[in-house]
Amino acid sequence: MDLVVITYGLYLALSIALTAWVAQTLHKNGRVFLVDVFHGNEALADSVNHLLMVGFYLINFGYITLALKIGIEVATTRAAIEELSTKIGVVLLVLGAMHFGNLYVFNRLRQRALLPDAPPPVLPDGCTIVRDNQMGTTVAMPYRAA
Amino acid sequence: MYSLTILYDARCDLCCRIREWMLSQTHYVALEFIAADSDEAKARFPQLDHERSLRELHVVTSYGEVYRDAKAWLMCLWALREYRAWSLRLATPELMPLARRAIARVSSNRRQLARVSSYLRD
Repeated sequence: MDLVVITYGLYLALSIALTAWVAQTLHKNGRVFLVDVFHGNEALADSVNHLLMVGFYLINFGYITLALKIGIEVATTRAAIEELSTKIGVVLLVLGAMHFGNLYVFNRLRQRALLPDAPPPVLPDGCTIVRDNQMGTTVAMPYRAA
Repeated sequence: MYSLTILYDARCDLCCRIREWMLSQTHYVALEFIAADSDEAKARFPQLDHERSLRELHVVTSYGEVYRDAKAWLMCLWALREYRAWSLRLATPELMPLARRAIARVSSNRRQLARVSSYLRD
């Protein structure tokens, strides 16, 4: 078989395996974040987790297939290995960037979910006696999450 | 129930408009607005320096904690769902001096600002 075709085969096999490994890692370890973000709603967390994984696969497979083509003539085994190494290196960097992007999204979601319980941003300047509201001024009631 | 009582300047057009705006926002804690230096404010908070509450915004929690000026503004932001993240960001040591200066400028020019904004609205 042609050396280029073997390189393509190896490139695809390695890239797909790497993508699957990263996606599974994200899927397994991101779940606990999402359950916390959605206040213990596991069904919703699983659904969002799955959708994120699908997006991850689509972007990475898209990149892998687009970057498949080797522009130069591959004559020797040495050239084939070098070309394969370059391609896999770029795929790994793309996967790394996607992975950190995903972590950033998880973290942003989590921080937002923690906001309703955040304590006041500043310490009070002092204390005073508070008498009961006897004149019956209206108090605007707070929002409660469902 | 934890609530914030905001002592606002009822004679200032801008303050009244900010009050309306805050009430239209989704808020995490109960809010109550009382005119600063009014009989009601004096009845509710007998120990407070009411003269001062006309010059600086005061926010008193239901536990009696008093926040003044820039801190009071940050507490107002903290009460609102869409602005809580901002209040936490502005309270960091890097941004707090900036927030303090901006708030001082708006507070001391609030009557002129109200005139400008009502002019722009008409």
